[in-house]
Amino acid sequence: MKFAICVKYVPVSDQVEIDPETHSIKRGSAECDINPCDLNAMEMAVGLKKATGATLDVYTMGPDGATAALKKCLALGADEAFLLSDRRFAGGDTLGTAKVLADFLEKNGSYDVIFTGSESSDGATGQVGPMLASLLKMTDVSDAVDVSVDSEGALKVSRKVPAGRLSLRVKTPVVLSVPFGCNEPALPTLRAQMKANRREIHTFTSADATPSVLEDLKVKSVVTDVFPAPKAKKAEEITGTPEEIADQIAALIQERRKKDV
Amino acid sequence: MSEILVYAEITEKGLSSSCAELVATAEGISKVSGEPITILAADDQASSYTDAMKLAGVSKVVLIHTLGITYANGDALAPVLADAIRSLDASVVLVPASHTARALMSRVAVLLDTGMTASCFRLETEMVDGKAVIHQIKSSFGSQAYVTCDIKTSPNIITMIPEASEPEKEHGEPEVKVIEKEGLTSAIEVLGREEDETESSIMGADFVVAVGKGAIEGDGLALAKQYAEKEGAALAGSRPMADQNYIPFETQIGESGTVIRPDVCLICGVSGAIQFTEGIKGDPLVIAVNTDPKAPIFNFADYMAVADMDTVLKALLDK
Amino acid sequence: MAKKKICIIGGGISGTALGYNLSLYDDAEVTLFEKGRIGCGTTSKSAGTVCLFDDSLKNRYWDVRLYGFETYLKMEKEKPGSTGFDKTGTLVCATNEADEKRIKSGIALAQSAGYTGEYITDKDRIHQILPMIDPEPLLGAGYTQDDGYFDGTMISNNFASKMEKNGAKIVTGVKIEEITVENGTATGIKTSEGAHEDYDVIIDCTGPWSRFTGKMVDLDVPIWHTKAEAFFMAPPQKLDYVFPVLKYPAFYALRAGNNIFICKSHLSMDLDNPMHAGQWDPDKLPERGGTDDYFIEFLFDQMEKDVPGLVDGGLASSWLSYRAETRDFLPIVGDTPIKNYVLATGYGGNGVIEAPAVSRDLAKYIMRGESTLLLEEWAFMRLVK
Repeated sequence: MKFAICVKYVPVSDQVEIDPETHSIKRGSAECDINPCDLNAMEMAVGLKKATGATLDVYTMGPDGATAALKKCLALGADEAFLLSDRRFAGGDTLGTAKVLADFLEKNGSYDVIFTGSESSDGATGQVGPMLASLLKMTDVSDAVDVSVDSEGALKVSRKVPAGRLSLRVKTPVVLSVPFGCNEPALPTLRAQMKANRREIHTFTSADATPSVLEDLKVKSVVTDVFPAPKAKKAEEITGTPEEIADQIAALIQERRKKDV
Repeated sequence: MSEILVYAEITEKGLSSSCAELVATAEGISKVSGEPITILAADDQASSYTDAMKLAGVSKVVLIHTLGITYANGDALAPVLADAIRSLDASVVLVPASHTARALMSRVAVLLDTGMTASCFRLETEMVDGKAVIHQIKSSFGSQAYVTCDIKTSPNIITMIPEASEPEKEHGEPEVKVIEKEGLTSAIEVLGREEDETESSIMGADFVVAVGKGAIEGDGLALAKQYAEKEGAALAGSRPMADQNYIPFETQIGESGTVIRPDVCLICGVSGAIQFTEGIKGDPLVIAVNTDPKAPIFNFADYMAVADMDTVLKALLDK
Repeated sequence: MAKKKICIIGGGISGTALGYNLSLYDDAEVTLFEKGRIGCGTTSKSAGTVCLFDDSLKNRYWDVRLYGFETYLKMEKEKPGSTGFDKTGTLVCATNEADEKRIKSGIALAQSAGYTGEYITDKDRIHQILPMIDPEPLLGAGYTQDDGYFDGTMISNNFASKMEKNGAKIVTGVKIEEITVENGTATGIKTSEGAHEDYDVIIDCTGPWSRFTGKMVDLDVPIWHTKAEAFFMAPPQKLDYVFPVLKYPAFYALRAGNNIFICKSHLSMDLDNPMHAGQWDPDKLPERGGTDDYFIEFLFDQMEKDVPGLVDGGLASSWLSYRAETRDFLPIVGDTPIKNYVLATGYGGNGVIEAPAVSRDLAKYIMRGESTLLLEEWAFMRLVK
């Protein structure tokens, strides 16, 4: 079997400042790292790879710095790493991103399972995984928290839904989007990370993309304005001895709960 | 004339409570554009919810009865929805920002090759050159900024964050159209469903006691547990608490955990990073106890006490 | 009697230790400005090791080391838990004869002060103390159970509350934006809140920010930033023994929760190597990450050679911090060519060790004009020769 995983290199901090005049974003820190739930996806992918003997390729679309995310995945057990980096890929909306990823995934051959994180910590749209599946004519399961293979080669997938889990039997090929916290991601070892840092990253630009896909990257949604969220309110202070504080807290809670009955 | 579509999500939990609310949002667009409002639903059980969808202000309800196919079969349901949206000539599709609906509609967006925005909380519609333009406002950058988006293609697919309260919606008499769809196939077979005890308890709780790193030293966690038990409240915590296995992951509040909508929330020893406060929605009474007078949680809470959580909880338990 | 108005810029270990020592003089009126929170800059990234006989500070300055160590021991005794002291002991590895000699004199000094210490050449015994390391290439190792590491942020906050009790003022969240100099004399400051205040003495305790602070009085403070690149590694097996502070010439390691913290030692940094040192902006330092790939290679080589038990440990997280280092790796303390503008900066990796003794002497010098041998050796003028 052939697996792929798509990861994103995201800003670690969302401490941003907005220039009130220009409405542009001043980012506090340029520090980036692999998107948190992508590591959960990686953990699931490596687990299934071990169980099936499959290969696992890792993809990311982003600037050169995003190789750090790829190297982490190599250290964690991915086989080959692909960086899709070009100004023409950047600035796209979710559908544009999905189209670029789909184009290169398709070029590299048919994958049986493609893993993604459920959503990025910066954009948090959760759209790219299912869009990718639709573009590649694959099915998809979002919020997949567990996966195994049955005797006929189909996947048994546990999907997190509100207040419960669905147990699914899914025929491949499939895109699985994996949520944060559903497993405990392994850490890359020093030895594996050092080897990964020396590995070659396959880099592709718009020159390698299918021309019709490039033409189709016209952005469908545009940001017309950015403005600061209203300033947070300031709480009313409760003071006194711990007993006095407790009395006031109890009274507030009691009053509110009475109202809701 | 084009139409405003409201996607009524149906899961095993029934018809999403967001339906009435999205109709209210659609009315806001309709006031400016003059377009009629249609509710669209597709599910194995779609016809069971006909009455619930007969809402004032809605001109038409289109129910697609997809035999054996539910939201869990995104591969089969998305093309059905895409066809319906195309044939109804929708200018906009309003979708609840649930994980299940957003996954399904992402596939629909591909099939219609149109733009899709995520988790908007407000729409502002204006006529530009005889055409309704919907400015879609969502929070971004960890809720520190609001972003306005326009979609340049039709239909606009917009996922909306559900509000805390469901608006009262009067009954109406829209035209109801039921379409039977048989013979749909999916690569996904649903084998069963397992209820998640812990999570539903913090999600549904009206009183939540939440603890953070401040509970690790001392007896904070044990005291909070006792107090929650005494009050019949659910115990939840911040991400560091779940990361370090002090609380089960299912009870972690936050952007990356569970979003709760309690009536009352007592927050002890949580610094209150935005990733945490994003997990508390609705308009609960929030009381925060923290030793650090500069803790960001105090910008989120209604009431604050600069105090040691252990002593306050002990006093609460002694009452 | 008119009080001496003193302004301290910076609320890390340097500023708070000095502020506390100044607050002990009843004719000092001390105000400390910290642009962030107390002990939350470079100090928060200090490993806080105060070892009785490692190579962090020459044996020549043994009294400085001992005074720092005992200051914190007393602080810990006064209020248990308040310094974050973890008495893990220290294992100092000797890789050559010079190390061996230095460690042996260190042990003698420690014993002279009433502490235990031994030089071990029995490889099995070394392996017993720390099974993770390979003792074969070592000549021997110095070992004591009496020391360990502290928490620089907690200590800074302790000093801060002690100085407040003595009547000193602490202003946090406020930045100094200008320093007024009249006829070569520093006379006052302007804060980010727009307040102008006059002072008799202004002291720069800003560590890695000192170049920027110095610019406000047109003083070139000769410090370089060296990169303190630290990794937290998850050991392959759970630690079920006391992990002592581990010192090798090129790096040191200590236990941090269930992980091992590893950092390149400050004396192994080369000020002329652009990978090691430079002039950067400490405000741009990320909270986590930011380490260089070369460091992984460095770490791998060291671990493979000396600590094979960690080569297959997991990389949990990492961070980068800047040490403020002078050419001779010793701090700059005391007067500058600008009258009434005083430095207590450039501690490098040794702020937690050196600040108590330096502050004790510097406070006396500022208040009474009496210098000490230590202040003379660590004076600004040595660096401008």
